[in-house]
Amino acid sequence: MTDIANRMIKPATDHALNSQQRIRVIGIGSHHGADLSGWLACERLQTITMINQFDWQLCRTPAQLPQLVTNCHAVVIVDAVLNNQPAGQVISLSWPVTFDRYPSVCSSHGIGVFEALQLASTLDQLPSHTYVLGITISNRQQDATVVVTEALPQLQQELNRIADHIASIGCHNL
Amino acid sequence: MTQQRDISIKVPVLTRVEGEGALRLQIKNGVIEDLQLQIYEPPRLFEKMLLGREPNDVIDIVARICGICPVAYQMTAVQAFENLCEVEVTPWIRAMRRVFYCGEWLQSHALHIHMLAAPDFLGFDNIIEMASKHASVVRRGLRLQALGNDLIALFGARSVHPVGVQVGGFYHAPAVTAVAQIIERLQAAKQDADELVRWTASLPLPAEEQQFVSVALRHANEYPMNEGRIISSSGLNIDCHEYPAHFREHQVPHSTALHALLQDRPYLVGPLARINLNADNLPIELHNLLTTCGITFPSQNMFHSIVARAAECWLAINEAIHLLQDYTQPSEAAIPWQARAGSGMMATEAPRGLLWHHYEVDAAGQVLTARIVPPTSQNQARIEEDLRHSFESIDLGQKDDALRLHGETVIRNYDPCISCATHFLQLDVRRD
Repeated sequence: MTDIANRMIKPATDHALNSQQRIRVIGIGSHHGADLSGWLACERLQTITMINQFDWQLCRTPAQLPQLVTNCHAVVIVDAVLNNQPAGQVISLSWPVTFDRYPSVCSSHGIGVFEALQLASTLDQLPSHTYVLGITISNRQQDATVVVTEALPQLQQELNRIADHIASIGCHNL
Repeated sequence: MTQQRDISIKVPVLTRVEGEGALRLQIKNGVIEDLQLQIYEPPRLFEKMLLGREPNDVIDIVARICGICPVAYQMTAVQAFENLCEVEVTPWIRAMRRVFYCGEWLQSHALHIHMLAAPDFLGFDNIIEMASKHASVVRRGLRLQALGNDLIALFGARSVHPVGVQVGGFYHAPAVTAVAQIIERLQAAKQDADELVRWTASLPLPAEEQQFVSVALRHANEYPMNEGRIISSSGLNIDCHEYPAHFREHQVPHSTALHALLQDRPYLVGPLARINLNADNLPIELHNLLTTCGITFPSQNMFHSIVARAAECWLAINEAIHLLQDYTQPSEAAIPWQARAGSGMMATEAPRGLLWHHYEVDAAGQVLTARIVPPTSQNQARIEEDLRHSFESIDLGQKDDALRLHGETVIRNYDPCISCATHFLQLDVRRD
């Protein structure tokens, strides 16, 4: 943890956001190897993130997402992404432009993150500000602890950026 | 079977099931030469992870066997240890554990009905397509699933890997205000539950009967969830301690999850088996609703499983209301207990069927051996038997895509949790 603390990015200014501007951060994962990354990342981010308008949730399968993304102003999904980038990088996506290029690494029930968000959108349940932070892994058996440790500073930076963005536009969009 | 076309079907990834598995089907000259439900994910070795652990650690660990049915694993484990230590819980603990289980049945069944099974019967590839035409139905499913998750969280602190259960009771008793809020939501959900039963009964379900043996718990006074004797439609009636003497697990070459047999025959566990063996213990209101819908249990039609799940959603909602309506917060959420050496077993009804645990514990209260038999592994042999029956009964002149969908629909009737049994399904199509 000392290493992580030394690399901590200074948190963004805590804007006075009201409850309608709460940002729900949902970590998707399972107990299987690198698929633990989404859960582990959220648990670690919760302990080091200074911004208090985040609402933290863990989710076992993307199939649960449509019910979890309701009644919030913005949502950030954190999930492992299998691709050819070095492990521990963060791919930041915003709905709906580029999701179809990044399928989830472990989609159960045939419903990955993209499909779940598409379902929520079809049901008019998806917040207008929806983001996905994909933590890259190189294989499914990879150690999630190592991956998340590498990705943590960039994840925190992305959350701060999203929070700043929501704060800057929120008073005009409520 | 008169179809002479040689057919080889391979599904590399079974969709709309929990976990991953494979189906291999080879038909030559109209005869099924090879049919395998292949599960080849490496074993997860949970039973080994439990060795040396104390009971309350075991309860938290086994919840992680499955992220969709953690309550079932916790309830089975905690009662196995309580049986060993001769712990007799209070009526409050017993009732609230039943509410806890109601939450899991509701969220698991609602997810399966709407997201996994229903698209098959309405001609959609997936829930997203279905939602574009049946938005209100899908929203209802998500509402029920969320309610089930919140019922679990009421006692478990969260629905993913709940942490509220300990030997002797719970770590926390919910406040009266929290219970009142959930009762309001349960009352509002009663109409959803009625409509769900009617809607599933109205689906264009195939009328295909077959012979199979149902196995489930049976309780003298209630629809079984957390306790009861193990019975079967072939006359079995045993205590959970007698399970190993009657049920045999064995390894098959094409699956890393064990198969189970009763008297050397496949058998069915799950909602259809439960309702078949406990139809007389359904509330009269539910019985009348099913009759109105033209559905009669016991049923030998596996496609009635979706209606059985809807009926159990109805039952879970109404049972939870009944058990919570006079709720008072106790001063203690658990009773004291003393560890002892010995053997503890228990069986409960997970959403997908009978779940059985056995623990041997030493004098220090640490686990020496653990054995867990999940419902999906018990159903594997039955699924293969069903697939064989189904493919022998249908017109094999249909295109391979139609045959593949039929196979997947048959498998989805069982709502397999391959994560519990161990993982992955791919369907291989090989043509000769």
